[in-house]
Amino acid sequence: MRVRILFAKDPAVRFISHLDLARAWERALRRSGVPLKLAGEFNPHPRLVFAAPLSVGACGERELLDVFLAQGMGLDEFARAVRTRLPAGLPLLGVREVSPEEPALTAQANLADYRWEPRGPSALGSVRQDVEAGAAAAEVLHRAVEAFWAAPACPVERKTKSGQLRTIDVRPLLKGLAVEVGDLSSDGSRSSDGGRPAGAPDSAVVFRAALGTEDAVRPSEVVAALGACLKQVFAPEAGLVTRGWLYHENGEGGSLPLWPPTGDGPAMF
Amino acid sequence: MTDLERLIEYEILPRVAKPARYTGGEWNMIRKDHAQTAIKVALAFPDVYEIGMSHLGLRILYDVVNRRLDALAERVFAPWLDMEEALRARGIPLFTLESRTPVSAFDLLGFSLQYELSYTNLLNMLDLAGLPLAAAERDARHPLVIAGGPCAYNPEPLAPFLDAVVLGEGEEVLGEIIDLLARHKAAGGGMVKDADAAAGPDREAAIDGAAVHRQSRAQFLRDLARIPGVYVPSLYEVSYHPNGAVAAITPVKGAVGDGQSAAAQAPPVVEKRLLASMAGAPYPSAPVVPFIDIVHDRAMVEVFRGCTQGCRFCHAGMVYRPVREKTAAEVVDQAARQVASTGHDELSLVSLSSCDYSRIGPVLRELLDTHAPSGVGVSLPSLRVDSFSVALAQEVQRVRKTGLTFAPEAGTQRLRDVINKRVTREDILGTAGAAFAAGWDGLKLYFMIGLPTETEEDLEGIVELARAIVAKYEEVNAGHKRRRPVRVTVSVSTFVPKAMTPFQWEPQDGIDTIKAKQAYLKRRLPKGKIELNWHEPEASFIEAVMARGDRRLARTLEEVWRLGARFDGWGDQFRFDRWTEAFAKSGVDPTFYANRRRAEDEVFPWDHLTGGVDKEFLVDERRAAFHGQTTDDCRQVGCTNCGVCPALGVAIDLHPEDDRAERDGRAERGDRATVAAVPASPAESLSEGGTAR
Ligand code: SF4
Repeated sequence: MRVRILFAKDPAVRFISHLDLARAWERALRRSGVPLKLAGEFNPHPRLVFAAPLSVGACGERELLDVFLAQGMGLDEFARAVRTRLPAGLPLLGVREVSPEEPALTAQANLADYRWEPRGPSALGSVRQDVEAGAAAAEVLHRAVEAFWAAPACPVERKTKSGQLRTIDVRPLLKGLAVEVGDLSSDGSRSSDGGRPAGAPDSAVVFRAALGTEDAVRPSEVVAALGACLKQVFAPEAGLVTRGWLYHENGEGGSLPLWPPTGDGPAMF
Repeated sequence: MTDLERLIEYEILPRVAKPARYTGGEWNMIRKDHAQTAIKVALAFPDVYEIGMSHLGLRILYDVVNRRLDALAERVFAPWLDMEEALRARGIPLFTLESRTPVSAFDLLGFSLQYELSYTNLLNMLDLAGLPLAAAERDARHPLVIAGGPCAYNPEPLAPFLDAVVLGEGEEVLGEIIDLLARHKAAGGGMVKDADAAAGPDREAAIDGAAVHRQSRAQFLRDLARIPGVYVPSLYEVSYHPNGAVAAITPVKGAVGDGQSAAAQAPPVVEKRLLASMAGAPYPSAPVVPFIDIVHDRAMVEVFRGCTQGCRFCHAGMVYRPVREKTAAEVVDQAARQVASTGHDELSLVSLSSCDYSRIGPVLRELLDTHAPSGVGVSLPSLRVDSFSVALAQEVQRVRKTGLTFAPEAGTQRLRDVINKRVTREDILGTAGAAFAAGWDGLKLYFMIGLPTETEEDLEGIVELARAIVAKYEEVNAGHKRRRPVRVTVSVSTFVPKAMTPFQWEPQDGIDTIKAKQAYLKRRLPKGKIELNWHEPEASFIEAVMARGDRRLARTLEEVWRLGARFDGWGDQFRFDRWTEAFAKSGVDPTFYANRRRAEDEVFPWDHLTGGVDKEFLVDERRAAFHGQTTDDCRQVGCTNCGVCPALGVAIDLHPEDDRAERDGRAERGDRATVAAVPASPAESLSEGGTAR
């Protein structure tokens, strides 16, 4: 039985790596006692397939994971067993059964939404974001996004695997970039305030970008490009990166969220 | 989120390596309400998270303290250099993982002292916490700074920095210290932290207040010294002979404020604490499960404490006596709890030599039968040099492929007799042959160089033994066409004479001698098939200085820390030039501690502390060593009079009986036989294991 899990990686655990996250899930599943299917003669291990890795420091609101069970079981029962065995900060949001014939999650997920919220004083470079200055931050982000769309290209440096620097243009890789102001973060109710200044409105840039391919662009690159548009050095790490919905883009411009947002089937909590 | 938290979260953590070292939040972490809990304990490990979290003692004490309703324990590790820099740059004090509370706000700060090369980290952590390094400059407003662990048996180089040192096993005594803290606090004499703020602008009152706090701490320390197993260094004074050796260590007289001087005086000798029996001993059933990869990332069940094999260089083998086993039922039960509560896929049976456990064979098989189907492997951290151990390792292979490690320690029979490592060349080659026949294509061997009486012949013995093992592999696999090349790793450490061992009088080889010996091995060991690892001789030298050092080394430690020494146990961080500069500045000749043969009647800096083993026994063992006479394990031949059992009123506690019936009948705990020096228990597990030696 192939079970797809919808979960979040909250700010509380944002500093763990993808490997750490995979280990945490494997251990949680073991603790829950669900009948994991083990593979491999020596060092038998359960197979966990994540849609896409999240980097150290990044949060995820709609992360996906496929696990494989040796025997079938009720989804409710599965969810009950697992949800109380997860560390704080990795809440289970939904489970559904997926046909074994469906392509691997990694192949399906090729597009994602991201949000970056400046949080630390250095996030917006010398455009200092004071504790009370949430509104000012929104202002800066608006200007940056305007400049971004007005510029002919938005180049940033990327270090390749071989260690060389390559210049890439971020602009054509984005499927949208905008500023959001208001109470954005859906994690607010679940965990801490995530570091928002008291009383200050949220402001963030949101964008949609490819996953896992040559065209994939890292959130830090988008933030760096935005800073460059204002001749500023933004500090992506001093903000909070959150990945939202994961999509499958069919190549003809259509994209579907990998987790049906409403309606039939999946159990959402 | 406060501004400070915002800085930590968004300006510091994103910019340091492995930020999850500092963020806690792991499964099974315990976070209690500080406002509702009387005594707050910070358990500190002076190395990085990955090392500290691998330590069983920390897991046990975290559990012991947090079980109490009136106390909480939180963890703190040494921040890596990048984190230290960030904390210092922004003036952020060292904080705990559980609640990000500054360490200075705790009532008790307890350090684990596992190795001498972590001492500079201890100083650094005190400083990062904003605490005065010197105990004398701290008072009741500061946490009580204590330390325990193997290095506590000679804590003298750290004496001025520590309020108290705990000798031996911490399970009970830590509780007694917390009780005392609670009583003191309730009586208003304890950690009156809030009084700081209340001192207000009135300077005179503040000074008065400081005096009160100082006196309160002094009184507390005197009370503390009455707890058996607790050593309060400030209550002892040390005098020296003109030649530099210690003349005497005596409790200070005339303790302030207490009429009866005898009662106010600290005991002349502090004895270690230990659990008389491991049966029913507290053991964590739900240890913290780290997110990040740590050194020993697995569930652990301790099968026994102590070791009486009697290797004469071995500190642990002398200070943790006698052997006390858990029952098979307990081991199996605790293993099941650990696996269920952690989700680890590996379970390690830990002790100083787990193959010696009376019921190792049956327990191992039962654990494998129970847990292997869900992919959980069982591992033995160290193997005895015999084919029985190979057979056990083979069982373990059912789930996890592991490497094999053996420790012959010395290259010739003569030297093995000197150090009382009672294995023969036949044992070693037979074991290697059994391993190769069972399908292993490599193994790792631990040796020590610089052992007392060592000659070139003994070094050549290492070479010869390694070659013979390679030859054994070819012999065993002679029939195989497509055999893989053999991989033999020879890991050579440098002998460090340790306090309270039969070799505590012996000099360490000079750095140049060690280098020459290492060069000899590098030259002589055939490349390709045999890989050689060694330790930096300079680091082993510092270890030797501290291991048998006295209080005068405290200045050196402070100097070297000021010169930037951190993480000296890390090869890439250790810098010998800092140490030589610090020795010069503090006017200390390090060779006096490391390389001098000490007189048999010399008073040692640790003579007022004891792990229970008689000094006479150590003297006899040393003589026997030089005569090449071995001493057997008291578990097999009966008491060999090391003195620990009568001194501490305990006995060897083995559980060789098959208690499966008892287990099924859910018999009472404590209804077990205490066996003094039961002979031949390994033989029994052998026959039951169905493997022949
Ligand atoms: S006193 Fe005797 S029985 Fe006890 S540990 Fe020492 S040698 Fe063994």
